[in-house]
Parts: sequence; C-alpha cells; structure tokens
Amino acid sequence: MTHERTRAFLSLCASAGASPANVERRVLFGYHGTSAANAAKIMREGFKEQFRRSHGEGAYFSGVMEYSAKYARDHHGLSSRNSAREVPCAPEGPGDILLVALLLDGHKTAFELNKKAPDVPVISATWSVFDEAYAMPLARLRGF
Amino acid sequence: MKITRGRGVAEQVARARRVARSKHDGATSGKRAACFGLSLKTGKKRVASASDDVPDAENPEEIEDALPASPVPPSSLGSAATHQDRELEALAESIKRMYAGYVNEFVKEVRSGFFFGFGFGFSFLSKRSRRSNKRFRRARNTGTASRAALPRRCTRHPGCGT
Repeated sequence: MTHERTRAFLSLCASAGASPANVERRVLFGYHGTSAANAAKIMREGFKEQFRRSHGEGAYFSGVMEYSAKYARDHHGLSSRNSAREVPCAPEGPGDILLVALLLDGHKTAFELNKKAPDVPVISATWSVFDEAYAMPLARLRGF
Repeated sequence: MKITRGRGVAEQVARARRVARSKHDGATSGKRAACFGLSLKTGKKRVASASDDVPDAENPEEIEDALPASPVPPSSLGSAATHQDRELEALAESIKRMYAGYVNEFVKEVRSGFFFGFGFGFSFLSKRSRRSNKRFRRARNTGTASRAALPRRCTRHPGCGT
C-alpha cells in the first residue's frame, strides 16, 4: 500500500483514540475475498470506493476465513457473471483472500462487533461492512 | 540415464531430457501444473518467479515467508520525526506486534486445510468454449443470459473441478 494511505490509516487510528496501549481493542483483523486482479490492486493502492463492486456503504469483511474463501470463489470464480470479464485460466487462480487490519470505528453494519479473546484478534462476524478508509490490507493469500 | 532395450531411442532420449530439465530447474511438468502455478501432480514446490510475491493456499509455509516483516515500513512515516510521527510510528509498531502474534494463528488456520473442501474452480477454455464464452457475453449484454449460454466446462482436465 502507498505510504500516504498507510499514514492516513494510522492517523485515523490515532484520531479515533487508538494508542499502543489499547490498539488490541480498537484494531482487529478481518478477511476480504475478491478476485486475483482486485486483490493485487488493493494490495498496491489500498481499499478505494472505486473498487467497490457490492452494493452498500463500504467494503465487506469477514472474521471467518471459510466465508471469504467461498465468496472469492462464488463471486469471482467461473460461476459468477463477473468472471466473464476476467481470464478464467489466470495463473493466480479464481480468487484471493486478503488479511486486513480494521479500525473498529469504521464499522458501518447495524450489529455490534464483539471482540473475541485477545489471542485471536479477528472480528467476530461472518460479514460486516467497513468504510474503506478504515481498512488496511496486510497480506494476500491466493488460490481460493 | 541408462538407456535400456524395449523402448524407442527417441522416446528414451526425450524422457531423459525431460528428467534432466526438471532436475535442473525444479519445475514440474504437465500442462495442468503449469497453468495452476502449483505443482499439483508431483507435490513438489513450484519454481519461484518474479510474480511469487504472494503465498499459495496449497503451500502454507509460503504464507509465513511472504508476510512482510512489518506491515508499516518506518520510511512511510517520513524523515521528519515530529511528535505526531513518533506517535504514528509507535502505533504502527503495536499493530506490527499484534500482526506478528496473529501470524501463527493465521497459518494454523490455513494449514488446517479447510480450503480443500471447496476444491479449485479452475477451467481451461478451448477454442470451442471460447466461442460459447463469446455467446455468453453477448447474451449477458442483451440481458438474455441463461445457463445454456454459459461457457462449456473443462473436459480436458478431470481433476480441475470445473
């Protein structure tokens, strides 16, 4: 991700009251299933509104890796309408999963996110919506 | 390689060349393996290339290797170390620590192999299916897409799951 966007994310964290002492309560991890092409773009440039394919107010994240894997496959694989625009035999495979740091203040879904035990800092929801600015991609897994 | 009787010399030489080549670069042979970018046939680790900056779900050990040492490089915070910069740097460090602590859990989750349950949705489009793909796109654009217009499924690779 570009330094500007990384800095913007950290500044958001700081302005939301996150500090080294309480970062584990303010920043959690989530998964984002998407196509290989989109995953590469997001890793380079971060989450942007322009990349949004789904309806709604932000980007979708899950605390369940299986859910993101299924989403990546069902919505960005061969069975989806979107796949006609992509190369079906791309070397990366049909879909990727991104591991993303999420600032909880950017959560836009109606339900509350309950924080899990500190040793598993992942959002406790099958799916949830976050403002793109509150998400920072950290790692990419491909081949789902 | 020892050349034995019972086979055509040309075939044996070709085989020897194939073996030598695969020993030389560690690559796996076969169309399927090449297309997947994974060595599914032999289980060997695939050859590293310039595009190998991301790990494969098939090789969880690559995940650990591919994770960056720090999610936030110090240089991203600029050279002028103002108070705010130091604050952000400390925050980045704490996220990095949390991230490093989570890596084990993350890899364990991938290593558990749940993704094998989903299979791989790869497909190989032949000329024939490219034609039907074109038909599908046309149908989609005119709003008459149906299952009949979907691209043909892979018949060349029985294991590719499509």
